[in-house]
Amino acid sequence: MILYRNGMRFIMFYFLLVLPSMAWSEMKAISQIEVLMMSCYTCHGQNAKGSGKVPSLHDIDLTDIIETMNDFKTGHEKSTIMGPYAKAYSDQEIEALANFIKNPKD
Amino acid sequence: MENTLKRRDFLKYSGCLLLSSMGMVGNINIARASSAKIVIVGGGFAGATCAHYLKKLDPSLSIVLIEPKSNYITCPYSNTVLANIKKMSHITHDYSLLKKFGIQVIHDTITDANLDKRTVQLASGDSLTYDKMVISPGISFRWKEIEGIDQSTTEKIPHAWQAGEQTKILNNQIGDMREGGTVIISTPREPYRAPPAPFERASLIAYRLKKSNPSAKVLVITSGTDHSEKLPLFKNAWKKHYGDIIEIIEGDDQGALAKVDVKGKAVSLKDGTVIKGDVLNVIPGQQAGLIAHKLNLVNESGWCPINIESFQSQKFKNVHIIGDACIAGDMPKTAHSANSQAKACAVAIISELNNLVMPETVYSSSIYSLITPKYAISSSALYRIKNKQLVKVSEGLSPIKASKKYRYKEARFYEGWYKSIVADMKMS
Repeated sequence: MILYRNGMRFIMFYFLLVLPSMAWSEMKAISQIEVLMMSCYTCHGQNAKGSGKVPSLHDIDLTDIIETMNDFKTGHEKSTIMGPYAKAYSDQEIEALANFIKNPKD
Repeated sequence: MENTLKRRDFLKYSGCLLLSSMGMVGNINIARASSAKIVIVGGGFAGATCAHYLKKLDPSLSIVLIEPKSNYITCPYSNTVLANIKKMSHITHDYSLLKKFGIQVIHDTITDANLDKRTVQLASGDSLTYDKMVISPGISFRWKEIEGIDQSTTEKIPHAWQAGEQTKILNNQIGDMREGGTVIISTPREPYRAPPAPFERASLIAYRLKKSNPSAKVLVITSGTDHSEKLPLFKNAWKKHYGDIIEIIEGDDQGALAKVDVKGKAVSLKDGTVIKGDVLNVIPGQQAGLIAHKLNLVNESGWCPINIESFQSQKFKNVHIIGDACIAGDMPKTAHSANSQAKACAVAIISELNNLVMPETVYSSSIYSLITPKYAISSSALYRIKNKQLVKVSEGLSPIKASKKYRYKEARFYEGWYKSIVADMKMS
Protein backbone atom coordinates (compact mmCIF):
# COMPACT_ATOMS: atom_id res chain seq x y z
CA MET A 1 0.00 0.00 0.00
CA ILE A 2 2.95 2.30 0.69
CA LEU A 3 4.06 1.62 -2.80
CA TYR A 4 0.58 2.37 -4.00
CA ARG A 5 0.48 5.68 -2.16
CA ASN A 6 3.92 6.72 -3.47
CA GLY A 7 2.77 5.73 -6.89
CA MET A 8 -0.21 8.01 -6.53
CA ARG A 9 2.10 10.80 -5.37
CA PHE A 10 4.16 10.29 -8.48
CA ILE A 11 1.07 10.34 -10.64
CA MET A 12 -0.08 13.50 -8.89
CA PHE A 13 3.34 15.10 -9.45
CA TYR A 14 3.38 14.05 -13.06
CA PHE A 15 -0.10 15.20 -13.89
CA LEU A 16 -0.04 18.36 -11.82
CA LEU A 17 3.41 19.68 -12.64
CA VAL A 18 5.18 17.86 -15.43
CA LEU A 19 2.48 17.26 -17.99
CA PRO A 20 0.83 20.68 -17.87
CA SER A 21 4.24 22.36 -18.05
CA MET A 22 5.09 20.25 -21.09
CA ALA A 23 1.83 21.24 -22.65
CA TRP A 24 2.35 24.89 -21.76
CA SER A 25 5.89 25.10 -23.02
CA GLU A 26 4.75 23.69 -26.32
CA MET A 27 1.74 25.94 -26.36
CA LYS A 28 3.64 29.12 -25.48
CA ALA A 29 0.73 30.46 -23.48
CA ILE A 30 1.38 34.13 -22.93
CA SER A 31 1.50 35.24 -19.31
CA GLN A 32 0.54 38.70 -18.24
CA ILE A 33 4.07 39.48 -17.08
CA GLU A 34 5.45 38.42 -20.44
CA VAL A 35 3.01 40.80 -22.10
CA LEU A 36 3.88 43.68 -19.74
CA MET A 37 7.55 42.95 -20.32
CA MET A 38 7.12 43.47 -24.07
CA SER A 39 6.64 47.16 -23.37
CA CYS A 40 10.18 47.35 -22.00
CA TYR A 41 11.70 45.99 -25.22
CA THR A 42 10.65 49.07 -27.19
CA CYS A 43 13.44 51.11 -25.55
CA HIS A 44 15.57 48.63 -23.59
CA GLY A 45 16.38 46.42 -26.59
CA GLN A 46 15.52 42.82 -27.39
CA ASN A 47 14.92 40.87 -24.17
CA ALA A 48 15.78 44.11 -22.33
CA LYS A 49 19.49 43.59 -22.98
CA GLY A 50 20.10 47.30 -23.51
CA SER A 51 20.26 49.59 -26.51
CA GLY A 52 22.94 52.27 -26.74
CA LYS A 53 22.68 54.36 -23.58
CA VAL A 54 19.36 52.78 -22.60
CA PRO A 55 20.58 50.30 -19.99
CA SER A 56 20.32 46.54 -20.02
CA LEU A 57 17.93 45.46 -17.28
CA HIS A 58 20.02 42.32 -16.79
CA ASP A 59 22.95 44.37 -15.49
CA ILE A 60 20.92 45.71 -12.59
CA ASP A 61 20.35 43.75 -9.36
CA LEU A 62 16.84 42.59 -8.66
CA THR A 63 16.48 44.77 -5.58
CA ASP A 64 17.94 47.75 -7.46
CA ILE A 65 15.35 47.39 -10.23
CA ILE A 66 12.56 47.42 -7.66
CA GLU A 67 14.05 50.28 -5.63
CA THR A 68 14.84 52.40 -8.67
CA MET A 69 11.34 51.93 -10.09
CA ASN A 70 9.87 52.91 -6.73
CA ASP A 71 12.15 55.95 -6.57
CA PHE A 72 11.12 56.95 -10.09
CA LYS A 73 7.54 56.55 -8.96
CA THR A 74 7.90 58.82 -5.93
CA GLY A 75 10.24 61.22 -7.69
CA HIS A 76 13.06 60.52 -5.22
CA GLU A 77 15.22 59.68 -8.18
CA LYS A 78 15.28 61.98 -11.17
CA SER A 79 14.19 60.27 -14.34
CA THR A 80 13.36 61.04 -17.94
CA ILE A 81 10.58 58.98 -19.53
CA MET A 82 10.71 56.28 -16.85
CA GLY A 83 9.01 58.52 -14.28
CA PRO A 84 5.54 58.37 -15.81
CA TYR A 85 5.99 54.71 -16.74
CA ALA A 86 6.96 53.71 -13.20
CA LYS A 87 3.89 55.52 -11.84
CA ALA A 88 1.62 53.42 -14.03
CA TYR A 89 2.71 50.07 -12.55
CA SER A 90 1.59 48.65 -9.21
CA ASP A 91 4.16 47.49 -6.64
CA GLN A 92 3.21 43.89 -7.40
CA GLU A 93 3.73 44.40 -11.13
CA ILE A 94 7.12 46.02 -10.57
CA GLU A 95 8.19 43.10 -8.41
CA ALA A 96 6.89 40.55 -10.88
CA LEU A 97 8.63 42.32 -13.78
CA ALA A 98 11.92 42.45 -11.88
CA ASN A 99 11.60 38.75 -11.06
CA PHE A 100 10.81 37.94 -14.67
CA ILE A 101 13.93 39.78 -15.87
CA LYS A 102 16.08 37.82 -13.45
CA ASN A 103 14.36 34.47 -14.01
CA PRO A 104 12.95 34.47 -17.52
CA LYS A 105 11.09 31.35 -18.55
CA ASP A 106 13.31 30.68 -21.49
CA MET B 1 -6.13 4.15 7.54
CA GLU B 2 -2.75 5.49 6.63
CA ASN B 3 -2.48 3.40 3.55
CA THR B 4 -5.94 3.78 2.26
CA LEU B 5 -6.98 6.23 -0.35
CA LYS B 6 -8.92 8.88 1.51
CA ARG B 7 -11.80 10.79 0.00
CA ARG B 8 -9.82 14.03 -0.03
CA ASP B 9 -6.92 12.26 -1.73
CA PHE B 10 -9.28 10.99 -4.36
CA LEU B 11 -10.53 14.52 -4.91
CA LYS B 12 -6.94 15.76 -5.12
CA TYR B 13 -6.00 13.16 -7.71
CA SER B 14 -9.11 13.63 -9.77
CA GLY B 15 -8.33 17.37 -9.69
CA CYS B 16 -4.90 16.58 -11.10
CA LEU B 17 -6.43 14.59 -13.91
CA LEU B 18 -8.78 17.43 -14.65
CA LEU B 19 -5.94 19.94 -14.73
CA SER B 20 -3.84 17.75 -16.95
CA SER B 21 -6.67 17.20 -19.34
CA MET B 22 -7.09 20.97 -19.49
CA GLY B 23 -3.45 21.18 -20.44
CA MET B 24 -4.03 18.77 -23.25
CA VAL B 25 -7.06 20.66 -24.43
CA GLY B 26 -4.73 23.65 -24.70
CA ASN B 27 -2.53 21.60 -26.98
CA ILE B 28 -5.39 20.71 -29.25
CA ASN B 29 -6.32 24.35 -29.52
CA ILE B 30 -2.82 25.27 -30.54
CA ALA B 31 -2.86 22.62 -33.20
CA ARG B 32 -5.82 24.43 -34.71
CA ALA B 33 -4.04 27.78 -34.46
CA SER B 34 -0.91 26.44 -36.13
CA SER B 35 -2.65 26.36 -39.41
CA ALA B 36 -3.79 29.96 -39.06
CA LYS B 37 -2.67 32.30 -41.79
CA ILE B 38 -2.13 35.95 -41.03
CA VAL B 39 -1.80 38.56 -43.76
CA ILE B 40 -0.28 41.88 -42.69
CA VAL B 41 -0.68 44.86 -44.97
CA GLY B 42 2.02 47.50 -44.46
CA GLY B 43 5.52 46.94 -43.12
CA GLY B 44 6.19 49.97 -40.93
CA PHE B 45 6.51 50.36 -37.17
CA ALA B 46 3.08 48.77 -36.66
CA GLY B 47 3.04 46.02 -39.31
CA ALA B 48 6.64 44.82 -39.07
CA THR B 49 6.57 44.76 -35.25
CA CYS B 50 3.30 42.84 -35.33
CA ALA B 51 4.77 40.28 -37.75
CA HIS B 52 7.83 39.89 -35.53
CA TYR B 53 5.83 39.36 -32.33
CA LEU B 54 3.24 37.05 -33.88
CA LYS B 55 6.03 34.78 -35.09
CA LYS B 56 7.97 35.09 -31.84
CA LEU B 57 4.93 34.17 -29.76
CA ASP B 58 3.72 31.37 -32.02
CA PRO B 59 6.35 30.18 -34.52
CA SER B 60 3.82 27.84 -36.13
CA LEU B 61 1.77 30.73 -37.55
CA SER B 62 1.99 31.36 -41.26
CA ILE B 63 2.59 35.09 -41.70
CA VAL B 64 2.64 37.05 -44.94
CA LEU B 65 3.69 40.69 -44.89
CA ILE B 66 2.69 42.74 -47.92
CA GLU B 67 4.74 45.88 -48.39
CA PRO B 68 5.40 47.61 -51.72
CA LYS B 69 8.77 49.10 -50.77
CA SER B 70 11.88 46.96 -50.44
CA ASN B 71 13.45 49.47 -48.06
CA TYR B 72 11.80 51.01 -45.06
CA ILE B 73 12.87 54.59 -44.39
CA THR B 74 11.77 55.76 -40.97
CA CYS B 75 10.13 59.07 -40.14
CA PRO B 76 11.70 59.09 -36.66
CA TYR B 77 15.21 60.48 -37.00
CA SER B 78 14.53 61.73 -40.56
CA ASN B 79 14.86 65.31 -39.31
CA THR B 80 18.50 64.53 -38.48
CA VAL B 81 19.02 63.98 -42.22
CA LEU B 82 17.61 67.47 -42.88
CA ALA B 83 20.09 68.78 -40.30
CA ASN B 84 23.00 67.07 -42.07
CA ILE B 85 23.72 65.17 -38.86
CA LYS B 86 22.85 61.75 -40.26
CA LYS B 87 22.81 60.24 -43.73
CA MET B 88 19.77 58.63 -45.38
CA SER B 89 21.44 55.25 -44.86
CA HIS B 90 21.04 55.71 -41.09
CA ILE B 91 17.25 55.73 -41.39
CA THR B 92 17.02 53.13 -44.18
CA HIS B 93 16.30 49.51 -43.26
CA ASP B 94 15.18 46.36 -45.02
CA TYR B 95 13.16 43.21 -44.49
CA SER B 96 15.93 40.61 -44.75
CA LEU B 97 15.96 39.75 -41.04
CA LEU B 98 12.18 39.44 -40.94
CA LYS B 99 12.40 37.07 -43.92
CA LYS B 100 15.07 35.02 -42.15
CA PHE B 101 12.82 34.92 -39.11
CA GLY B 102 10.21 33.08 -41.15
CA ILE B 103 7.96 35.89 -42.32
CA GLN B 104 7.01 35.74 -45.98
CA VAL B 105 7.52 39.29 -47.26
CA ILE B 106 5.84 40.09 -50.57
CA HIS B 107 6.79 43.41 -52.15
CA ASP B 108 3.49 44.20 -53.78
CA THR B 109 0.40 46.37 -53.39
CA ILE B 110 -3.10 45.33 -52.43
CA THR B 111 -5.57 46.33 -55.10
CA ASP B 112 -8.71 44.95 -53.50
CA ALA B 113 -10.02 42.54 -50.88
CA ASN B 114 -13.16 40.65 -50.04
CA LEU B 115 -13.37 40.95 -46.29
CA ASP B 116 -16.31 38.58 -46.02
CA LYS B 117 -14.59 35.84 -47.98
CA ARG B 118 -11.22 36.75 -46.44
CA THR B 119 -9.28 37.14 -49.65
CA VAL B 120 -6.96 39.89 -50.91
CA GLN B 121 -5.91 40.70 -54.45
CA LEU B 122 -2.43 41.94 -55.28
CA ALA B 123 -1.31 44.17 -58.12
CA SER B 124 0.72 41.24 -59.51
CA GLY B 125 -2.56 39.39 -60.07
CA ASP B 126 -2.04 36.93 -57.23
CA SER B 127 -4.63 36.53 -54.55
CA LEU B 128 -4.24 35.40 -50.96
CA THR B 129 -6.58 34.03 -48.33
CA TYR B 130 -6.28 34.67 -44.62
CA ASP B 131 -7.72 33.76 -41.24
CA LYS B 132 -6.75 37.13 -39.80
CA MET B 133 -5.69 40.29 -41.56
CA VAL B 134 -3.75 43.11 -39.91
CA ILE B 135 -3.87 46.44 -41.71
CA SER B 136 -1.24 49.03 -40.89
CA PRO B 137 -1.25 51.42 -43.82
CA GLY B 138 -0.05 54.55 -42.01
CA ILE B 139 -1.33 57.85 -43.30
CA SER B 140 -2.51 59.48 -46.50
CA PHE B 141 -3.19 63.18 -47.14
CA ARG B 142 -6.34 65.29 -47.33
CA TRP B 143 -5.29 67.23 -50.37
CA LYS B 144 -8.45 69.27 -50.75
CA GLU B 145 -7.97 71.23 -47.55
CA ILE B 146 -5.35 73.66 -48.87
CA GLU B 147 -5.89 75.29 -52.25
CA GLY B 148 -3.04 75.02 -54.73
CA ILE B 149 -1.33 71.82 -53.61
CA ASP B 150 -1.89 68.13 -54.19
CA GLN B 151 0.07 64.96 -54.89
CA SER B 152 1.38 66.46 -58.16
CA THR B 153 3.06 69.41 -56.41
CA THR B 154 5.02 67.39 -53.83
CA GLU B 155 8.27 67.68 -55.79
CA LYS B 156 8.09 71.45 -55.51
CA ILE B 157 6.34 71.70 -52.14
CA PRO B 158 7.51 68.62 -50.22
CA HIS B 159 5.64 67.53 -47.11
CA ALA B 160 8.39 65.08 -46.12
CA TRP B 161 5.85 63.53 -43.76
CA GLN B 162 6.49 60.11 -45.26
CA ALA B 163 10.23 59.66 -45.16
CA GLY B 164 12.15 58.69 -48.30
CA GLU B 165 12.15 60.55 -51.58
CA GLN B 166 10.33 63.43 -49.92
CA THR B 167 13.07 63.75 -47.30
CA LYS B 168 15.67 63.96 -50.07
CA ILE B 169 13.72 66.65 -51.94
CA LEU B 170 13.35 68.83 -48.85
CA ASN B 171 16.97 68.21 -47.92
CA ASN B 172 18.15 69.36 -51.37
CA GLN B 173 15.91 72.42 -51.34
CA ILE B 174 17.33 73.54 -47.99
CA GLY B 175 20.86 73.01 -49.31
CA ASP B 176 20.13 74.99 -52.49
CA MET B 177 18.35 77.86 -50.73
CA ARG B 178 19.65 81.38 -51.35
CA GLU B 179 21.57 83.15 -48.63
CA GLY B 180 19.20 84.70 -46.12
CA GLY B 181 16.21 82.70 -47.43
CA THR B 182 13.24 81.51 -45.40
CA VAL B 183 12.08 77.94 -44.83
CA ILE B 184 8.37 77.85 -44.02
CA ILE B 185 7.01 74.84 -42.14
CA SER B 186 3.26 74.65 -41.65
CA THR B 187 1.42 72.14 -39.48
CA PRO B 188 -2.00 70.65 -40.20
CA ARG B 189 -4.94 70.36 -37.85
CA GLU B 190 -4.88 67.44 -35.46
CA PRO B 191 -4.79 64.52 -35.41
CA TYR B 192 -1.66 64.03 -37.44
CA ARG B 193 1.39 61.81 -37.38
CA ALA B 194 3.99 62.65 -34.72
CA PRO B 195 2.56 65.94 -33.35
CA PRO B 196 5.77 67.58 -32.03
CA ALA B 197 7.85 66.56 -35.05
CA PRO B 198 7.31 69.82 -37.02
CA PHE B 199 8.99 71.62 -34.11
CA GLU B 200 11.84 69.15 -34.07
CA ARG B 201 12.17 69.76 -37.80
CA ALA B 202 12.27 73.54 -37.32
CA SER B 203 14.94 73.09 -34.64
CA LEU B 204 17.18 70.86 -36.72
CA ILE B 205 16.85 72.93 -39.91
CA ALA B 206 17.84 75.95 -37.79
CA TYR B 207 20.81 73.96 -36.50
CA ARG B 208 21.96 73.42 -40.08
CA LEU B 209 21.26 76.98 -41.25
CA LYS B 210 23.05 78.52 -38.29
CA LYS B 211 26.22 76.93 -39.65
CA SER B 212 25.72 77.06 -43.40
CA ASN B 213 23.41 80.03 -43.99
CA PRO B 214 23.33 82.07 -40.78
CA SER B 215 21.18 84.92 -42.07
CA ALA B 216 18.43 82.47 -43.14
CA LYS B 217 15.20 82.01 -41.18
CA VAL B 218 12.77 79.26 -40.28
CA LEU B 219 9.13 80.27 -39.96
CA VAL B 220 6.73 77.81 -38.30
CA ILE B 221 3.03 78.34 -38.87
CA THR B 222 0.96 76.17 -36.56
CA SER B 223 -2.65 75.18 -36.70
CA GLY B 224 -3.37 76.72 -33.34
CA THR B 225 -4.62 73.72 -31.41
CA ASP B 226 -1.01 72.70 -31.19
CA HIS B 227 -1.09 70.44 -29.23
CA SER B 228 2.09 70.39 -28.19
CA GLU B 229 2.38 70.77 -24.52
CA LYS B 230 6.00 70.65 -25.60
CA LEU B 231 5.82 73.98 -27.39
CA PRO B 232 7.02 76.07 -24.38
CA LEU B 233 10.01 73.73 -24.13
CA PHE B 234 10.80 74.27 -27.79
CA LYS B 235 10.41 78.04 -27.59
CA ASN B 236 12.66 78.13 -24.58
CA ALA B 237 15.38 76.15 -26.33
CA TRP B 238 15.02 78.02 -29.63
CA LYS B 239 15.74 81.31 -27.94
CA LYS B 240 18.78 79.86 -26.27
CA HIS B 241 20.25 78.04 -29.26
CA TYR B 242 18.96 79.83 -32.31
CA GLY B 243 18.23 83.41 -31.25
CA ASP B 244 15.82 84.85 -33.80
CA ILE B 245 16.40 82.27 -36.52
CA ILE B 246 13.10 80.52 -35.72
CA GLU B 247 9.88 82.48 -35.71
CA ILE B 248 6.42 81.10 -35.03
CA ILE B 249 2.93 82.15 -36.02
CA GLU B 250 0.23 80.37 -34.04
CA GLY B 251 -2.77 80.08 -36.30
CA ASP B 252 -6.28 78.85 -36.67
CA ASP B 253 -7.28 75.49 -35.21
CA GLN B 254 -8.67 74.32 -38.55
CA GLY B 255 -5.23 74.21 -40.13
CA ALA B 256 -2.64 76.86 -40.63
CA LEU B 257 -2.99 77.63 -44.32
CA ALA B 258 -5.75 78.47 -46.79
CA LYS B 259 -3.70 78.50 -49.97
CA VAL B 260 -0.28 77.82 -51.42
CA ASP B 261 1.10 79.63 -54.47
CA VAL B 262 3.43 76.97 -55.83
CA LYS B 263 5.08 79.12 -58.54
CA GLY B 264 5.33 82.27 -56.44
CA LYS B 265 6.54 80.27 -53.37
CA ALA B 266 4.06 81.92 -51.02
CA VAL B 267 1.48 80.75 -48.50
CA SER B 268 -1.79 82.44 -47.55
CA LEU B 269 -3.07 82.26 -44.01
CA LYS B 270 -6.78 81.91 -43.29
CA ASP B 271 -7.04 85.66 -42.62
CA GLY B 272 -5.66 86.44 -46.09
CA THR B 273 -2.10 87.35 -45.06
CA VAL B 274 0.36 86.27 -47.74
CA ILE B 275 3.85 85.21 -46.69
CA LYS B 276 6.63 84.59 -49.17
CA GLY B 277 9.21 81.90 -48.53
CA ASP B 278 12.04 80.14 -50.33
CA VAL B 279 11.46 76.57 -49.23
CA LEU B 280 7.88 75.62 -48.42
CA ASN B 281 7.40 72.54 -46.26
CA VAL B 282 3.62 72.38 -46.10
CA ILE B 283 2.46 69.41 -44.02
CA PRO B 284 -1.06 68.61 -45.22
CA GLY B 285 -3.96 67.33 -43.14
CA GLN B 286 -3.95 63.58 -42.69
CA GLN B 287 -6.18 60.51 -42.64
CA ALA B 288 -5.74 56.73 -42.64
CA GLY B 289 -3.75 55.20 -45.51
CA LEU B 290 -5.68 54.85 -48.76
CA ILE B 291 -6.20 51.08 -48.61
CA ALA B 292 -8.23 51.58 -45.40
CA HIS B 293 -10.55 53.91 -47.35
CA LYS B 294 -10.82 51.52 -50.27
CA LEU B 295 -11.76 48.65 -47.96
CA ASN B 296 -14.33 50.84 -46.19
CA LEU B 297 -12.61 50.54 -42.82
CA VAL B 298 -12.77 54.26 -41.99
CA ASN B 299 -15.52 56.34 -40.42
CA GLU B 300 -16.41 59.98 -41.14
CA SER B 301 -13.20 61.13 -39.42
CA GLY B 302 -11.09 59.42 -42.09
CA TRP B 303 -9.51 57.09 -39.49
CA CYS B 304 -10.41 53.49 -38.59
CA PRO B 305 -12.66 52.72 -35.62
CA ILE B 306 -11.54 49.62 -33.72
CA ASN B 307 -12.33 47.56 -30.68
CA ILE B 308 -9.46 48.72 -28.51
CA GLU B 309 -8.96 45.39 -26.72
CA SER B 310 -8.19 43.47 -29.90
CA PHE B 311 -7.63 46.27 -32.48
CA GLN B 312 -10.30 44.47 -34.51
CA SER B 313 -12.17 46.69 -36.92
CA GLN B 314 -15.59 47.79 -35.73
CA LYS B 315 -16.77 47.20 -39.27
CA PHE B 316 -15.33 43.80 -40.20
CA LYS B 317 -14.46 40.70 -38.22
CA ASN B 318 -11.00 39.19 -38.63
CA VAL B 319 -9.52 42.51 -39.71
CA HIS B 320 -7.30 44.30 -37.21
CA ILE B 321 -6.03 47.84 -37.71
CA ILE B 322 -2.98 49.19 -35.94
CA GLY B 323 -0.66 52.19 -36.11
CA ASP B 324 -1.45 55.71 -37.29
CA ALA B 325 -4.54 54.58 -39.22
CA CYS B 326 -6.54 53.40 -36.20
CA ILE B 327 -8.44 55.40 -33.61
CA ALA B 328 -6.80 54.33 -30.36
CA GLY B 329 -8.33 56.63 -27.78
CA ASP B 330 -6.08 59.61 -27.27
CA MET B 331 -2.84 57.77 -27.98
CA PRO B 332 -0.81 60.06 -30.23
CA LYS B 333 0.03 58.80 -33.71
CA THR B 334 3.67 57.99 -33.07
CA ALA B 335 6.07 55.16 -33.89
CA HIS B 336 6.09 54.17 -30.23
CA SER B 337 2.26 53.98 -30.13
CA ALA B 338 2.33 51.86 -33.30
CA ASN B 339 4.91 49.55 -31.72
CA SER B 340 2.84 49.16 -28.58
CA GLN B 341 -0.38 48.55 -30.50
CA ALA B 342 1.36 45.98 -32.70
CA LYS B 343 2.34 43.89 -29.69
CA ALA B 344 -1.09 44.13 -28.08
CA CYS B 345 -2.67 43.14 -31.40
CA ALA B 346 -0.32 40.14 -31.76
CA VAL B 347 -1.26 38.96 -28.26
CA ALA B 348 -4.97 39.52 -28.97
CA ILE B 349 -4.83 37.51 -32.22
CA ILE B 350 -2.98 34.59 -30.64
CA SER B 351 -5.33 34.63 -27.64
CA GLU B 352 -8.35 34.56 -29.90
CA LEU B 353 -7.02 31.82 -32.17
CA ASN B 354 -6.36 29.65 -29.11
CA ASN B 355 -9.53 30.48 -27.20
CA LEU B 356 -7.48 32.00 -24.41
CA VAL B 357 -8.33 35.03 -22.34
CA MET B 358 -6.26 38.00 -23.50
CA PRO B 359 -3.85 38.92 -20.70
CA GLU B 360 -4.22 42.47 -19.43
CA THR B 361 -1.61 44.71 -20.96
CA VAL B 362 -0.35 48.28 -21.03
CA TYR B 363 -0.08 50.62 -23.99
CA SER B 364 2.77 53.05 -24.08
CA SER B 365 3.84 56.01 -26.12
CA SER B 366 6.85 58.26 -25.98
CA ILE B 367 8.23 60.76 -28.39
CA TYR B 368 11.62 62.37 -28.31
CA SER B 369 12.52 65.57 -30.13
CA LEU B 370 16.03 66.74 -30.83
CA ILE B 371 16.62 70.47 -30.62
CA THR B 372 20.36 70.23 -31.14
CA PRO B 373 22.31 66.98 -31.55
CA LYS B 374 23.07 67.14 -27.84
CA TYR B 375 19.79 68.53 -26.57
CA ALA B 376 16.56 66.51 -26.59
CA ILE B 377 13.20 66.68 -24.87
CA SER B 378 10.60 63.97 -24.49
CA SER B 379 7.04 63.23 -23.56
CA SER B 380 5.59 59.88 -22.58
CA ALA B 381 2.35 58.33 -21.48
CA LEU B 382 1.03 54.97 -20.41
CA TYR B 383 -2.50 53.68 -21.00
CA ARG B 384 -4.60 50.80 -19.76
CA ILE B 385 -8.02 49.50 -20.67
CA LYS B 386 -10.76 50.32 -18.19
CA ASN B 387 -14.39 49.54 -19.02
CA LYS B 388 -13.44 48.79 -22.62
CA GLN B 389 -11.93 52.26 -23.02
CA LEU B 390 -8.30 53.18 -23.35
CA VAL B 391 -7.48 55.37 -20.38
CA LYS B 392 -4.31 57.38 -19.87
CA VAL B 393 -2.99 56.38 -16.45
CA SER B 394 0.13 58.51 -16.38
CA GLU B 395 2.03 61.00 -18.48
CA GLY B 396 5.13 63.08 -18.30
CA LEU B 397 7.14 65.73 -20.05
CA SER B 398 10.74 66.89 -19.82
CA PRO B 399 11.10 69.68 -17.27
CA ILE B 400 11.25 73.26 -18.52
CA LYS B 401 14.40 73.78 -16.49
CA ALA B 402 17.09 71.16 -16.72
CA SER B 403 20.85 70.91 -16.91
CA LYS B 404 22.81 70.51 -20.12
CA LYS B 405 23.69 67.04 -18.91
CA TYR B 406 20.02 66.11 -18.58
CA ARG B 407 19.21 67.28 -22.13
CA TYR B 408 22.22 65.41 -23.47
CA LYS B 409 21.12 62.30 -21.61
CA GLU B 410 17.75 62.51 -23.34
CA ALA B 411 19.48 62.92 -26.71
CA ARG B 412 21.44 59.74 -26.05
CA PHE B 413 18.32 57.91 -24.86
CA TYR B 414 16.65 59.01 -28.10
CA GLU B 415 19.45 57.31 -30.01
CA GLY B 416 19.09 54.15 -27.93
CA TRP B 417 15.32 54.22 -28.33
CA TYR B 418 15.67 54.50 -32.11
CA LYS B 419 18.02 51.56 -32.30
CA SER B 420 15.77 49.51 -30.06
CA ILE B 421 12.46 50.24 -31.78
CA VAL B 422 14.03 49.38 -35.15
CA ALA B 423 15.24 46.07 -33.66
CA ASP B 424 11.69 45.49 -32.41
CA MET B 425 10.63 45.50 -36.09
CA LYS B 426 13.37 42.92 -36.69
CA MET B 427 15.14 45.34 -38.99
CA SER B 428 18.47 45.39 -37.14
